[in-house]
Amino acid sequence: MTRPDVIRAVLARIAEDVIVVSNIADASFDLCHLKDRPRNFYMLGSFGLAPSIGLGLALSRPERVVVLNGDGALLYNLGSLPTEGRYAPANYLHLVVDNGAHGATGYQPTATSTGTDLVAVARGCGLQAQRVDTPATLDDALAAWLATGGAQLIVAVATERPAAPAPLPPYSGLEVAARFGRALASSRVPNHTKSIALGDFASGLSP
Amino acid sequence: MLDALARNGIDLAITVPCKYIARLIVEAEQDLRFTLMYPSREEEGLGIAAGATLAGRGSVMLLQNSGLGNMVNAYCSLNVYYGLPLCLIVTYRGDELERVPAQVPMGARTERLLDLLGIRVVLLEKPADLTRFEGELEAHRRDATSVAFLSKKTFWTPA
Repeated sequence: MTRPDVIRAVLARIAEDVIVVSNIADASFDLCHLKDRPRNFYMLGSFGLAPSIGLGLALSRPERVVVLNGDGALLYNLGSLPTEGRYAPANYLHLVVDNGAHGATGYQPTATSTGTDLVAVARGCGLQAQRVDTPATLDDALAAWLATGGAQLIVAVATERPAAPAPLPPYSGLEVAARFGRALASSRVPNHTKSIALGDFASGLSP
Repeated sequence: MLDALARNGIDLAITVPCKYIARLIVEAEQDLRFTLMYPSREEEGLGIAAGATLAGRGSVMLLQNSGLGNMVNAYCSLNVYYGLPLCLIVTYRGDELERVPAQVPMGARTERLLDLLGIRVVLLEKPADLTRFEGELEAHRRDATSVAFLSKKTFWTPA
């Protein structure tokens, strides 16, 4: 699989109201290029913080939140995993596209290429976690999360390199944030959240 | 302080703790108006606060000035670039009353660092300075500007 393959699989599965936060550089470029949506937050700086922004959103909103992260970015902010396991909002999915490298800067190898097991780390932090390495198993994992919820990490192994980089999103940061904020403000409580177990979700919101 | 925060629509408190504000943290944790979170480090807390802001939710970070140094790139490329204001209650370590010498170099650079980042500094030196807190908090919420309440030991534990 390539990273765009993983993002295509997500886009094929998610409803319009699902919030997507994408990692700096290629994940954001691919997401905007494949399907530009008001509920996409294209993170273009603050390396490593996509899961943290996603967690803040998931704890503050009823909709599902999908974070499109990379292995290098997760290793940079590995402390985000215990925080996710601790607060564990049921509407939160952390999807790591693992190519074993810092793709945006010339494919320098990351620690996952030498054996660091992000699934084991995530489980040690109290998260549900699994590894997938084919489009079919990725699709099954996404469908299962959409059906049941639960704070979860999916590592999608995608070592095949994409043919060409996607263009940059044609928006300034202020435009991205304003459009995203307006999209969320326009709907307070979407219907599909009834599928999330209320107790689980409430536990993520309580002090 | 908690009453003023609640009156200004802030219900999420995110902390990497400091001894000076141990009592405030306990009070926030026990106060049903607030959700208290402990991120692993300050930069991560800044990301959580940004997510809350995008969702229309008010938040505050409680941290030491040493932690400001861990947030510099994220503040510029997330808060400044996307126009997301941040509210910080920062304990001012490394001043003349500091017992830990390693805090002093960051203390000496703290106000210049905040100034460089374009974050408004409100100095809280003595308990009476609390009267400035709510007005400055209202300005932060109204104008969507970042603010740091830089609070000395003498504000939290007067001699």
